Amino acid sequence: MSAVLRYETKLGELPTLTGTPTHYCAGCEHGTLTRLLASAVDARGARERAVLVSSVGCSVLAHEYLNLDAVQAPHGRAPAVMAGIKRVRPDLLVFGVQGDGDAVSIGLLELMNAANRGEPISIFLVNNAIYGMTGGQMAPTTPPGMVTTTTPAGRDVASTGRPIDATKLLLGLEGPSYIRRVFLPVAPTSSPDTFNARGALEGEAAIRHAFETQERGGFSFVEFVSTCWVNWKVSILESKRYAARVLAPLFPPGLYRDRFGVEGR
Amino acid sequence: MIAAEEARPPRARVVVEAERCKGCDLCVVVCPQRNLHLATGFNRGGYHPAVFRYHGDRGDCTACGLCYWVCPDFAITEVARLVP
Ligand SMILES: Cc1ncc(C[n+]2csc(CCOP(=O)(O)OP(=O)(O)O)c2C)c(N)n1
Ligand code: SF4
Ligand code: SF4
Ligand code: SF4
Ligand SMILES: [Mg+2]
Repeated sequence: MSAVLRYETKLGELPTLTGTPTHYCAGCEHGTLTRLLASAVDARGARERAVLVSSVGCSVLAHEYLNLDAVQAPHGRAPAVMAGIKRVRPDLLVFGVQGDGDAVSIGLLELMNAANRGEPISIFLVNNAIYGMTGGQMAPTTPPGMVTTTTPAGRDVASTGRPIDATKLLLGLEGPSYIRRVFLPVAPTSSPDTFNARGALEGEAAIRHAFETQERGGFSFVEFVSTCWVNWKVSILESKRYAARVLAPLFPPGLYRDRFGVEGR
Repeated sequence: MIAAEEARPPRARVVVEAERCKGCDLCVVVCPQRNLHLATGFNRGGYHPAVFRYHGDRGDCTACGLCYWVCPDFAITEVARLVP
């Protein structure tokens, strides 16, 4: 005689995920981040009062995948849109997803000034070191030597400068309350065909901490070191290895500022 | 011995929605027990979707959830544990 087996769901559907199939390429961190955002919003029970500001870049359609009110900002202008919404409706949880081209190139001024004013908003930067959506042009974050469509011989720092580190730029300002950088891709381990998922777990926690900081009245910023295998022109897993080898040393992950001590709680 | 193992009810379950999957391999390479692999056949999107087996190459699924967290396409829709 066999009893009926019962299974309890440990991880399952999230109310904040629409379930719409994404336009992201296979294996892209833009997709991974979407689940992490949904999970952090739901953990706060904030779905009814969370507002997403999506930017221009591959995250332009992020509002299709998150079951939230959303505004799609012009290129680089997401921080100003977020600040405006938050000032009019301080009861809302306002966050945005920006690419490195969007936030560190055309929109750097917006980012720096919103951060400097300490606007109580949360900005999530997907730094894949390239302009993904437009076909792989050099971004300010592109590592030296990387071949892109606009640097066919590899990025030459003598003529294009060194990569800009957005996290460190914001660290030079008094305004931000929470600054963290997360290595989001699956990361290679000592065994050649095995990767770890630490980045996704850390990333979800970082988003929760960013939200907590916002609700205590502070500006929060999390940079997610990411990949873009399509425009880097390598395989999916090779893009993760490249990110670990080249991007992680250039953009070291870690907690850079936590004024309210939200991580210690 | 394997037969006796398999006769026991699985202690964990992972649900993959094959039509959502883009065959990116991330769940395969992060699973510590190798419970997931890519099918040889195709889904409607033209991808080789991930398939779950409770008995993996390196052990049984522990419902650790790593596959769920890394999947960029939310194709892993459930990770469940057997209620003892
Ligand atoms: C005002 C304006 N200038 C240029 C563009 C073209 N454009 C679209 S996305 C993009 C860059 C996107 O790169 P990034 O922000 O890094 O996002 P990713 O796609 O890499 O995530 C550019 C230059 C535009 N849409 N609007
Ligand atoms: S182009 Fe690059 S950043 Fe955009 S969805 Fe594809 S892999 Fe991701
Ligand atoms: S829950 Fe953990 S052990 Fe089970 S299939 Fe997923 S990664 Fe593997
Ligand atoms: S991580 Fe998701 S999309 Fe990628 S192979 Fe596994 S189930 Fe499919
Ligand atoms: Mg980019």
